[in-house]
Amino acid sequence: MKRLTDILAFGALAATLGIAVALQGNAGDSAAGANEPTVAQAPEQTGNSFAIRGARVFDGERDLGLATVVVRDGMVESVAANGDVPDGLPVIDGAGKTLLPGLIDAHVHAWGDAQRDAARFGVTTAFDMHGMVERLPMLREQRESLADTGQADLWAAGYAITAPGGHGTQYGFPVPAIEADTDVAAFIGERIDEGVDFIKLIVEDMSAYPGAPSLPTLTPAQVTQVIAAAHAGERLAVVHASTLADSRHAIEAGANGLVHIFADQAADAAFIADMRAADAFVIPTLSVVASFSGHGEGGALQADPRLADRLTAEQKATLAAAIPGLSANDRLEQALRSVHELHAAGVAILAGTDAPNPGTAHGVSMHGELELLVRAGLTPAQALAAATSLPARRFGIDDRGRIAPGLRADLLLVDGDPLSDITATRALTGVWKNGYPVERDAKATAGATQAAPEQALVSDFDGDALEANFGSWQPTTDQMAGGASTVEYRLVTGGAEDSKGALAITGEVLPGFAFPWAGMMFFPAAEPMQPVDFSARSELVFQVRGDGRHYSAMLFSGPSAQGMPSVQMFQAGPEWTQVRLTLADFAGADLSLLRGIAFTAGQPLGSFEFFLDHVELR
Amino acid sequence: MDAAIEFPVETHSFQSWRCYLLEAKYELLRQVRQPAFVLPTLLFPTAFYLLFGVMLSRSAAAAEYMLAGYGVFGIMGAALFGFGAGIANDRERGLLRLKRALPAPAGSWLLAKMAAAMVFAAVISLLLAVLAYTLGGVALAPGQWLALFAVNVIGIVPFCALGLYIGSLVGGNAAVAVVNLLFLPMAFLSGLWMPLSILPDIFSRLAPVWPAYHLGQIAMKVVGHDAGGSVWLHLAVLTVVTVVFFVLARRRLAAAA
Repeated sequence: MKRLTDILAFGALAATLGIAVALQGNAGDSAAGANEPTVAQAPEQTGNSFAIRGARVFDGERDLGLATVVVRDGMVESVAANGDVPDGLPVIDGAGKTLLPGLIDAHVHAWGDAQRDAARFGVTTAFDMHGMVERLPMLREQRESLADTGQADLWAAGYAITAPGGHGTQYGFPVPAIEADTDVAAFIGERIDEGVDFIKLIVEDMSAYPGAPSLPTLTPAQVTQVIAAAHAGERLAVVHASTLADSRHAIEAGANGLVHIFADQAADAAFIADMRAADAFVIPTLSVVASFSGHGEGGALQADPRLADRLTAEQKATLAAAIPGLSANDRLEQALRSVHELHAAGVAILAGTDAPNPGTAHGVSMHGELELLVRAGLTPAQALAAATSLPARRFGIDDRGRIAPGLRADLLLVDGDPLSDITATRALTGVWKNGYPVERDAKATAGATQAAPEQALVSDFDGDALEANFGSWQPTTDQMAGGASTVEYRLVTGGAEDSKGALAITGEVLPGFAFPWAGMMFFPAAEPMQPVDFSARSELVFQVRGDGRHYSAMLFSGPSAQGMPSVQMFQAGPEWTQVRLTLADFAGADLSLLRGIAFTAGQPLGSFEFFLDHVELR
Repeated sequence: MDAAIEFPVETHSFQSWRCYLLEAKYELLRQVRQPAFVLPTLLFPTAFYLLFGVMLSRSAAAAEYMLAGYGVFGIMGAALFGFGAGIANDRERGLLRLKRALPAPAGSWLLAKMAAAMVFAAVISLLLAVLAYTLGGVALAPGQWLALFAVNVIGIVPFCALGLYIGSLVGGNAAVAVVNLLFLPMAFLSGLWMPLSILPDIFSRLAPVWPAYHLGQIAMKVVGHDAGGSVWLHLAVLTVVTVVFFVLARRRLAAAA
């Protein structure tokens, strides 16, 4: 009898825990299942031709009322109040919904899954304000194509223009900077030759943030020279400035726009007059201002049930991130006041988020930015124009930004009426990029990884520039983790097996981080850390010679861009040697989501030198 | 007549209230005077949090996750060691038998131990909150701070029950070993130290077998980093765990007497 009670008690415990495992295990599956109804809304659409009937249409500038929009081969064919749908086209019922042009985020920093995350939340185009230039040709190709990418297209500034050691140099990749004696015109010419779409200047001495250590920055004279050189090269010049004085100088020097609203004080009448006279625009990036004023707007977005389900772990992490040691302040109110007055005076306001800075995330923060713009006094229609037609026009992009015949079919369909309640943009029921429906479920897009290119050869380093047959090479050091190691690279003549050239990698491993590293990293996709499916390949093969040290081949892979790499060692002896590393031996690596391969020196500390040639993924 | 009956009842209730209070006070004093218990109980979670949640963490999100995780880890230690090892020792030294002979309400020693564990849980929770706020860059809403505190303080109950059962099962020396054997793996496998996503999928799937996982998930829910399970499921599991282990422990203690 006594034993029976014990058995019953343990039985109850085992049953409860068993049920808990079963229920918890199902939780993920049922969440995925909950998304099915929205997918089912366009059951017949497989290509990039379809029609949407019965939806209210905001064309990027005006409310067209109920209209039928016909999309053929990725382009808008017609927009008509009571238009007929040609036979054979799949029809999407838009009753009770509003159709908008794909959103344009005018201030982002894109890497990893940024383009995909943006598109999943209706941002089909974005302007990258500071990043590496190796990807520029691929970005251009992508935005000119009508392919089913499921990603936002990017226009990019390449490297932002800054001073040595200034803001923008702290992100772990080397940035060319303007020294006191730099020939500014030639320097900007180099940037334009790299293929940048516009020039972004950084004027930031941190004086707007009391208590923060000050930073070197461009002098007013250099700012004037950079803007003149950008215009001479037929590029827009846009400026990051955090004080009213720096912003005023930039506009007086002819800058086309500001990429933040300044933080030290509200806009004064003279500045507003200057902006009007110069016809300059502002991308106030209220989302990141809100984060810097400690208001937790990112958390509010994350809590919105219309958005929460589709956030990736990475989006949640950047939304929840806070600036350490920040106390709540009134910067957001001040910024809202400035935007209100600038807008009232007729100055163009463009929507941009500065994602993925702390408190923001790609795609999702655009919905917060729209709400903040409305709080600043824009009407919902004006806020939507600031996120669609206006940025396209200001950046000289004529194939998107509106819903009109002949334009690209970048569209979003939302439940309800964002023209009366701006937060209705969050109730997305469909996003189309180039006329193809965008898979908005994060899990599903993680599976739909880019396929590997056909060739095995990554680089033979025989050209004049550091190039890869696909993807790009970039230096990598532990400086991005707080370390101090350094690396330099150059192409040298005389490669393995009498080939023309090779890649020389030199540097010094210095103390500062627990696991120091320095070397070169190969990214297989257009974006650094964007995954590519290499599951059909079996070997990483390359030629190496060097100082006799042991080096690491670090393979980054898996569902998160922040995952730990798996490592194999190789030695760089005095003679060229072929190294063959079996990909299956990279423990724990997920080759279907290969994000990058780094060739690096680590412990022991000290200088190193090695040469790479003929890198292949066979 | 009525008054004569009422009087002793009232005295009795007053005395028992005082009994509970005194018992709790001396239990706490006894534990506080044992630096070998106090220091590890308080320093373990705070030092771990400082190291992994503050110094090695690269984002405030990680610092939040770890604040919730190490809070649960810390209070679990206070409860398991305070109860498991404490009860086993008391039992071995015959203290429980003595208590039973004392004219004190039955179970007052149990509530006293629980109250002491709650005080430790409150201190751990506050220490972590101060570290998280000042050094970890964690900014939570006032309601979130309060909720986390409440989860930590009330959350000791199932682990008190588990500790009580261990204490009723084995002797004083063995209890420390058994608690350690359970405590550290359970904390790790419940994702209290680091997200289970760094481990193979099977670990996330099996994590719900650990009671600590369920309390951990409730704490994570407060800061918005949970795995998305229902809070009712977690509460139900913790309730069943509490009831089952209290019942089992009571039966063993009664049998031993």
